[in-house]
Amino acid sequence: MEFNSNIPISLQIKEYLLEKIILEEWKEEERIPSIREMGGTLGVNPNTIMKIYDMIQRDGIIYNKRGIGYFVSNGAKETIMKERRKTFLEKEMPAIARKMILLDISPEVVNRIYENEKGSLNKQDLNT
Amino acid sequence: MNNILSIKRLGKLIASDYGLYIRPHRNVLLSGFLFLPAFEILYFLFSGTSVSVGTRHQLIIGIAYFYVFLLPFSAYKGINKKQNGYYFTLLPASSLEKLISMIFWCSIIIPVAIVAGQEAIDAAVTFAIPHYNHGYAAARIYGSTSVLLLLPISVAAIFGNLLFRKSPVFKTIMLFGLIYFSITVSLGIYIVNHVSKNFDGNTYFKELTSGNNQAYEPASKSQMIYLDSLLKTTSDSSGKYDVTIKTTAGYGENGNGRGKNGNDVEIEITDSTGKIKSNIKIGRQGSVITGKTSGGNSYEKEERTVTMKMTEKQLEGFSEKFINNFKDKSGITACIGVCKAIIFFTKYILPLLMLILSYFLIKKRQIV
Amino acid sequence: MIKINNLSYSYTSRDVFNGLSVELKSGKIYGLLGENGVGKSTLLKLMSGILKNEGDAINMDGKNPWKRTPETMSELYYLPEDFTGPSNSIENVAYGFGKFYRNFSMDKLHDILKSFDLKPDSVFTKLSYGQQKKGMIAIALSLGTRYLFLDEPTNGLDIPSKVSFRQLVAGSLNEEKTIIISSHQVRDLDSLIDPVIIMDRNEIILNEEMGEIEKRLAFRLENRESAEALFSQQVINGFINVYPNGNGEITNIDTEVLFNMAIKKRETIKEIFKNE
Repeated sequence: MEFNSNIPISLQIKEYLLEKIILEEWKEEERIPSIREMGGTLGVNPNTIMKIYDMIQRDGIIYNKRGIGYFVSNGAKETIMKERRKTFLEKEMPAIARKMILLDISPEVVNRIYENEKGSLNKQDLNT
Repeated sequence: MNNILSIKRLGKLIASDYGLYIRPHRNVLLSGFLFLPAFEILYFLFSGTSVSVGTRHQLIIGIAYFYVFLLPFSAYKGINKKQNGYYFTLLPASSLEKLISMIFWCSIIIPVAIVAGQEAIDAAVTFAIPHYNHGYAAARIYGSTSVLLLLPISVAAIFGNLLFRKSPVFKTIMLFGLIYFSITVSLGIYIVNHVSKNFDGNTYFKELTSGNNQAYEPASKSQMIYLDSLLKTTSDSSGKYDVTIKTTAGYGENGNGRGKNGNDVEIEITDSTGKIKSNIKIGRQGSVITGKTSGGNSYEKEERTVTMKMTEKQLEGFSEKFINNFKDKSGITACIGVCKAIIFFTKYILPLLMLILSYFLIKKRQIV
Repeated sequence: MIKINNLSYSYTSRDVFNGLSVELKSGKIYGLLGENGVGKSTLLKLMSGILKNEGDAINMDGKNPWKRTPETMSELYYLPEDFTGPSNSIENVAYGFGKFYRNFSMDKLHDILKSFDLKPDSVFTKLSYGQQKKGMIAIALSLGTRYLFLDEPTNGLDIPSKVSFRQLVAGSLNEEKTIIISSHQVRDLDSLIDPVIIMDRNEIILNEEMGEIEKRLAFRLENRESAEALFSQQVINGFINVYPNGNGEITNIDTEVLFNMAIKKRETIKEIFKNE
């Protein structure tokens, strides 16, 4: 994993973990790699990993079964999605809307683009 | 597990040392067995005869000396300095165990292997070709002291390898060369000075009849008893020599009870013309103390004079026996004693000393 | 735990340190950073019983490593920077050493060698310098000692190997172990080491966990040097400016910049991390 030197490593790793959950590479109620295993995979100090695991555990994304390991919480994906939706709608969306207004682009145009994307993504799913 | 000596760990160490230090030199050591056969072949080619048992024996021992001396330097090369030194020091075994393992391989197993191996090859050759080699060199091992020298040689090499960081072989040879050189030289000087000047027993008789002789140590009790018995057997009233023996014995009491404090002996030998043939003095004349000493002991003198006649032959016999018994034994004894002590030292004490120092070189040396 | 209290050491020609004190806790991978010649190797060798330390300046679980007892030595391993590979295979050497170390695992050795792309039966003397180094690192990690001191382990390794190295060391750590990696190539150890110890001229300038550093300093990549910054370093796409961390945000600590700052602004660093 290549690290971007601008953003703190811990946040980058957090992103990496959340991605895995959203993409359902790590399914809910499934065990995820231990702190040590994660450190070994990424080449990052396990203490750093531990802080990140603690962070997302507090957010309810994962939980710890003593002696067994860390598991993805039930509804974790939804929790993450909710949070990201919130960020998107509150931060990114208004900026896009403003640009649309400035460039005189109507929501119908956006709708068409949305439907296109959705269609091509579905085709990808069918092919796999 | 005991922190200083654990048999289990020692066993592991011995096995590990074999793999790490000894085994890599297996080929070189095995090549040592080829020397004797090669020598025998060359010798036979050049002179047509076989090598004698004695020479073969000496060659075997000599080859063993060579390999045994060099082994520690190459097997445990550089263990007192960077790189190899780190691994050796870090290994979790006690310094004592490490030393024992070194001794096990370098002073016991490999020397025995080199000697026994060569002897076996020699014996095999002798057995196979009896008309060529006469006698088993192995037979010469019994009672051979030169074989035992392998032990102190290997210990010296182990010590030198641990002590010297640069050019250890050269420096070790120099060091022990120096030690033995100084011992031999000082021994020689001592012998020359102390012994020959006064105690050349062969010429004693001549001196006995030609001049004054004084030995400096007082005669001991056993010597006096001997003199008594000697005098009883060697007189003849028809002899032409007059032998007058005056003894002064000091008796006294010291803290340990009644005892003697030295005997002086004066012997005057005159021939029938009254000419003094010899005058022998034993003991520090006048050294017999009388009266009270500062230590609170008191001594008394007891003097005795005996005169007798001896024939020339009797005189010779008397002189010879006298010389043998009354030579300044304590001096010779001291001299012989010193020689023996030095030999004992170099044979037993010096190697022991080197082993102890080697232990501390393993335990307390920095690896730089 | 290793407690070093008032340690002084000198080679015949010069003092290396005088009154050095530092505490090293378990469950951590320490980075011992400093220029060449500053005393990093010396410190590691003193902790390994290789250099003399008669007094009680070094306390390793209550023992002085200079005593060289088997018990102490079996709990530590020092991988030197300079070494000659023995004329034996990696496997055999590991096996020979491993007998003396409680936690040695041949399986672990094989796993590590696989990551390093090395065959266990390769003979050291037939390998390149970098490969020999990897072989020795593999052995060192497989011994599983409580204390592991690696002296400039990434010197001579290619970039993929450095990545593997970080992964393997991170994966080796557990609560019992203390790993100390000394290096003057700070970049190689980024994100692996925590805490960071910076040494310069006989002194320890900094000994802090990343969390503490993140709390007190903020590193920002900006277009130009800043007058308000405590320290600035030019990088490829601008300047990294170091500010005191006022608002509790967590920024990416650039270990190399931190190191340079510690060397050049020693007093500032000491002041910031002074314990109240």
